[in-house]
Amino acid sequence: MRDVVPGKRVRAERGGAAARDALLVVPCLAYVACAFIGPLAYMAVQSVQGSPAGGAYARLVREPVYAQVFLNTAFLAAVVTIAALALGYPLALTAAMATPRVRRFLVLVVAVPFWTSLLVRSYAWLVLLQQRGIVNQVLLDLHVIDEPLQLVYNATGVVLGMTYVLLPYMVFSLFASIRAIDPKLYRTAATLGASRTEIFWRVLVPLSRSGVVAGSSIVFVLAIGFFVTPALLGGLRQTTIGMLIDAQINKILDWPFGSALALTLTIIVVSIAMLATRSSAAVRRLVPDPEHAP
Amino acid sequence: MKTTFRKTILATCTLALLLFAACRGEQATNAPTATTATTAPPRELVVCSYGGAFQEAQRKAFFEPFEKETGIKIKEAQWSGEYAKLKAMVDAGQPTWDLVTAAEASIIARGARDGVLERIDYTGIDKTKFYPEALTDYSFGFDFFSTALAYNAADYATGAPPKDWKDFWDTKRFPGRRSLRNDPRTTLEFALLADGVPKDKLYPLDVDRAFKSLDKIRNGVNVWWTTGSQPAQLLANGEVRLVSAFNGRISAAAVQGKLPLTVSWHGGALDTDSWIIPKGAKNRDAALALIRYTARPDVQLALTRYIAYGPTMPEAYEKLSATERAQLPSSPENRALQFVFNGEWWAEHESAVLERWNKWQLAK
Amino acid sequence: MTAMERGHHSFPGPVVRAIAAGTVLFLVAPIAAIAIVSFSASRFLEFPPREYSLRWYANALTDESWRAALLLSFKTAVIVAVLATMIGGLAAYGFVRGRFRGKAALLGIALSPLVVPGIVTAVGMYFVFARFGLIETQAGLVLAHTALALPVALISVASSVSTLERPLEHAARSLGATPFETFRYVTLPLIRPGVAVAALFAFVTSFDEPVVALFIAGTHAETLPKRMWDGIQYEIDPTATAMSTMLVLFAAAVVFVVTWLRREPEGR
Repeated sequence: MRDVVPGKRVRAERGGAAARDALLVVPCLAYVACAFIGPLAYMAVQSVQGSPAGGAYARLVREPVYAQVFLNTAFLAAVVTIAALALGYPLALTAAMATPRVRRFLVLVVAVPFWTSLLVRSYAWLVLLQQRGIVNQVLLDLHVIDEPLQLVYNATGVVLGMTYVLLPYMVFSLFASIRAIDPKLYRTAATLGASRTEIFWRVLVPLSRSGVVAGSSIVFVLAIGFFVTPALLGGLRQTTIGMLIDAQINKILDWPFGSALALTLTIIVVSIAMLATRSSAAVRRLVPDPEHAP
Repeated sequence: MKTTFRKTILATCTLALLLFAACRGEQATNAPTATTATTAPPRELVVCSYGGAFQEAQRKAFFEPFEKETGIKIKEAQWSGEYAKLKAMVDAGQPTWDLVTAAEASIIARGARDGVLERIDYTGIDKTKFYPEALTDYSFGFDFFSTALAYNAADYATGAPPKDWKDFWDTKRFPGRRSLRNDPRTTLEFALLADGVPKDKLYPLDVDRAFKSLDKIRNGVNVWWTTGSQPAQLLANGEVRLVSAFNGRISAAAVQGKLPLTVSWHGGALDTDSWIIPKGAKNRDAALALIRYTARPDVQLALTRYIAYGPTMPEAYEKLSATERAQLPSSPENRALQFVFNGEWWAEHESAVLERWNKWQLAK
Repeated sequence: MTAMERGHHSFPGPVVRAIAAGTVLFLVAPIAAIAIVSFSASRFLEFPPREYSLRWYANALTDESWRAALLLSFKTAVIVAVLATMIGGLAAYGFVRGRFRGKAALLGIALSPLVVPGIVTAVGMYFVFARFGLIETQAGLVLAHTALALPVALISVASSVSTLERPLEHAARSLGATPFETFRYVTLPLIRPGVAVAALFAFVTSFDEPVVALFIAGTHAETLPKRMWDGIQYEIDPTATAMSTMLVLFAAAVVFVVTWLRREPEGR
């Protein structure tokens, strides 16, 4: 029979336990440091190699072509984010409000493509959007157009493909935050005479804002780094930074320059990510706590 | 409890699959592991080529019979002629490919200069039995192929089909979507030919003029192909109407898809597919054995029967019928219409041109 | 009152539902297109197919390079799932429960593989792995994929741990359980869903990983995504579509089973 002095022992343990728990993160951090941060650091060193040292960065700044590619990539990512939001919000909302069976079905519909290979998902759009693809065939049959439209190997194809690949991230984000809203609020609003549109804009949107910010950030950050989908579906003007890095490393063998591009991209992406996490906390502070709403 | 039961089943299944996979895995992956067996481990050879119908033809004509004859196991890889990849591999000290098909003469010329290739050991091969341009110290050419203009004859049933690069550049007389190779090698030459430069005055290439010429067709090119299988696919699908392509892929696709895909030899770029050995390749002996195997006329003919590429041994031509010869880029009548791709010029200038090419592609 | 209830059940309205339905079609169409093409007899990607055949399925299942790729991807993903869940799970517990300075920054580092673009990770790893002779080896792939899967596993377990109520553990401790016993009999069963999800996500992260594999994998150690990429680029035959359809059906079955097993009671 152990001698138990509950309060004292637990309190003393708590201090030691917290320190011990802190040690648990060490293996993970060590692993990430070696296997991930290490390579990035090596790449950073690579980027300043060559003669003159740091010449790669000078070139990046000097030649406007590369800044243009960065801007194009960012613009593309922005368009994709907006498209994902426009398509994702109605879906997330419907899923959140649906019966459990419908919700399960919708989760399946979103999750299964998510777990399909990125390559095949992008490739599928090639099949759908080509000159004799199903989209053009249907449009031709319905006499909406006389000649097949150019839907792939251009911006349309890339936007469709990337939105398709990134939509699940948006939907899951939105779904989580919409589900967190107390359903009583809708009933209350309805009782007070609010129309559907009013409920949407004045209850739903403000309260799901963190999900919108989180989802949009994730999609935007991921979209900027894409290279497989734009390579498969885009034309020359849809060359992304990711594609450029790949070309420099694999085709042109200019490792310092490729590394410089990669590092610049990383800094941009990490900055956006940090900004996003900070702003969502700020948003949460602005949005009144539903429990204390007047 | 239901959850524990489910988890146990799941865990057991996973474990079983894991063990099963681990056992099967050793056979399937064939990873080079240290063996302490008393019998010598089976020799293997990693061969890299351009994929698609060409590599299939190589497989049937070369690799499979070679495996049967020597017992050397061949593993295949693919590339698209990216010299940088080859150089990176050799520089890293452990090239993962033992034997590589180089379709662009510039790869050989650059490789020789940069010390990236092993010398070919010609003992046992009678060099006089080959066309002289096919063999070099660092490469062994086993077939002649061309990069040429191709189209679907069904699109031009009424009216004249396009003949040469001037026609390709003429979007008024020959409207429709086009595809060119996303690589300056041969594409610059085509641009110059379209601009009116005579075939025999191509080299040294006037790069500025070539890019100006490319500017004219830039908007007409909807797809820039990267691998050899693409142009045939694009034509077969009706995605584009005019392409530049490796001739053999077009003929193979014509047969497979039962479509009248046609190659026009005017202004085509003649080149050889050659074996090269990256410096430091592990299975050099096996690589040389395969090279010797393809130095037989009957073996070269076997390849020609699978894909429309010409042998590099004159005596092999005698065994071909007139119709078969007409299909080949290296037959005299077809050769006369083409130019020979100059690897030396490209070895000198490829880096700079590639740089400019990439910028050109990104420009608005 | 019926008006109030009706207001609740008919929200969202028909417009939103219509868009949602359209999005469902948007999500399903490409998968369906790929599935249909996989049954096409033609080598070229014609849609709809003129003739049908199972030849690409036969090829996917019998061709040695495809089988080797499938097996290697599976083995690698299993090992990665185990490693990532263990390391990431421990770290999750440490982050949620532990008290130490700089937690936010360290958490940022632990999650950094999620934020950094795949191409950047791939290039960095390519340089370093080449120096250590890890290119085209299974070990290299496991190393790389575990780094990518750690953040995902960490987040999954962390969300479970954060809902765990401390008093339960303290109660166990005060009743005389050792830290290990507490973990095994109290903590672990309660965070099991999070751990299961972590393992699953880590598995999928490795199995479907396309970008790093393009740089690290090769003939001697080829993952399925790398094989598919080569198939799409060089062969352009529908074998990749057949393999993908088989995997989709498998994934669908798994998701269906999991959601069905975790179903909530009907009604809200």
